[in-house]
Amino acid sequence: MTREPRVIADGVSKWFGPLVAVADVSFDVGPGVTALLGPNGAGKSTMFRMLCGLARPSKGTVRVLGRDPRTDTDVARHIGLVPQQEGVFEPLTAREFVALSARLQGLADPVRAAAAALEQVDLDPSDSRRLPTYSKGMRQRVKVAQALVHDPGVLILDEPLTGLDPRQRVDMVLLLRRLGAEGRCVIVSSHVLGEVERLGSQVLVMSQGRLAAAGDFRELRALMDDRPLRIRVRTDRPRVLAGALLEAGAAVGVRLDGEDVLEVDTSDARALARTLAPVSRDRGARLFEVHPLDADLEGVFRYLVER
Amino acid sequence: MTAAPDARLFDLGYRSYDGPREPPERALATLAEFTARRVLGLGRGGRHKVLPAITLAIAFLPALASVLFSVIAEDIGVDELISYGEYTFFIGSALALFTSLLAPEALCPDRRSGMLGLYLAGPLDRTRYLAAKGAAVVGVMLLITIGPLLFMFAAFVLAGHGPSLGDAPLLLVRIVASGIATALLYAALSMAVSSFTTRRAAAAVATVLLLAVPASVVRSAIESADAPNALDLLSFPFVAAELSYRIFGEMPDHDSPVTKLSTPVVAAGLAAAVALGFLVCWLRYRRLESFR
Repeated sequence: MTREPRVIADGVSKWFGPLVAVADVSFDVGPGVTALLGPNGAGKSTMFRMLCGLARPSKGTVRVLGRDPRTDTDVARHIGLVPQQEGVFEPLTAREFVALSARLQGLADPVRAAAAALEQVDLDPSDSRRLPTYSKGMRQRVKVAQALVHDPGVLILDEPLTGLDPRQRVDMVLLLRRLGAEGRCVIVSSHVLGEVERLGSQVLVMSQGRLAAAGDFRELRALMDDRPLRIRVRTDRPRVLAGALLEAGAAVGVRLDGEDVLEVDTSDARALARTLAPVSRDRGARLFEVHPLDADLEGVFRYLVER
Repeated sequence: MTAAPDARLFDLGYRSYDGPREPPERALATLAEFTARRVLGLGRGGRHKVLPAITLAIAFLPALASVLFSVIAEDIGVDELISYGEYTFFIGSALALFTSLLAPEALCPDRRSGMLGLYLAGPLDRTRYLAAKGAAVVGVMLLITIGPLLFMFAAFVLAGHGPSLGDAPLLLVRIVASGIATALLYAALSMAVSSFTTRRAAAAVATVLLLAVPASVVRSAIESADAPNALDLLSFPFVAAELSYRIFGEMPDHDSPVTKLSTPVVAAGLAAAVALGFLVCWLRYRRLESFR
């Protein structure tokens, strides 16, 4: 799978009168799943609108597969959009709805394409029930099916996990991971950070209309050297180990939690990793567990949007 | 036994669709057909069919009555029945009702539900989207602006009351021209109104008001303040009816300011209203930031 960018934003800004929704954002996204994250009002939806050609950047350029999605309607044939809204679009059956999408995309056999797309998201193409009778999770999958029906190389999903129950979220995450693994460029916005973490590690974080970070969130965490990393260490001699780590300069702070848990703050995780084992051995402390506490996506996200 | 030397593993990953594709115009036709079916309630529950069916019935009723009278009452001449030219005037209320249902149903739900975003993220740009919607609205309007007249024409011909063979083509052209002009006017005005709201009911009421209020205000102004007759071009239903009379070469049996205007002025007034209606609608959509 080549990593050449499929979606490029270059110095993109968008303002509505005096309100700046997106300010000078640049990034590129290749195949695989990339999460676009940010609190409400961060500019995610505006960015998505511009990626789909539904809004024109006030400044800068957006390119999808090398073309301008706003003016080049042909590139729309390679974009699949899963919009956010909860409402069911039309009182049709799933197959009719997806077939309508296929016809709009000019496919030669829209009915067969609709059936194939519905099967791809584990829905029954012969189901004669109308969409309003579907569960929330099924409707989300229908939306994904209509976005997939023309086999696009770029999939844009706005909050596809919102409103789903835990089981439905797991199913949706597996589906999106599969689509990304097939080589599609899948861009997902979500507030459900725990599930986004399971989608993959590539993130774009927007805050107050600006791009706060881009890349692998674990690498981003490593870059946050102004913020100590907190490590949970379970050992039989927490007090001894705490003193030793401070003495060795591998920790900038320690906190004892119960009989056997030590939380260590370090500004250099690699140095701590190198130091912890020999120091424990020298002081006769047995290590049962070493676990980073805020290196997950939620910790990274909180740091990026609150700084 | 050794493995075949040409054994290969293939990458089963994503391949973009490279099969045959219909041209983008096909998407336009698909949306127009889908919209026409939707506004007529086809493929939907019974309650969605009731209003279109009632309106169609109202529009066809005078034609049906004329044909029945001409067949049953032999002493009644065709010229004593509703003429082709006055039909548009006669079904003015049905036209207003129909158009106030059509355009709001065609345009408003897409913006309200977010379907518009899906359409515009596909091969339809705003202009093509509106062209499809306009084609659907005008096409369905033609059902009542041309349909009853064609029915009358066919019935009169079959009953032996129709035009002579030589006059028939001209009458057909007049029926089509009058029907298209009327359908375009009503469609343009109601689409312009519908582009301002996502609520069908509000658009329907506003459409009826646009058709009714200027007519009464303008006529009062002309009568009481001696305003120019050309102001009556804002009485849109009367303009459509007046042009219809003139296309059929008939004279209305009532007197109104618009009847005092020349045919080119009436035609230009109608064309301007059509152009303005579609332009307003297009400008509204051009500026629309759509996603949901």
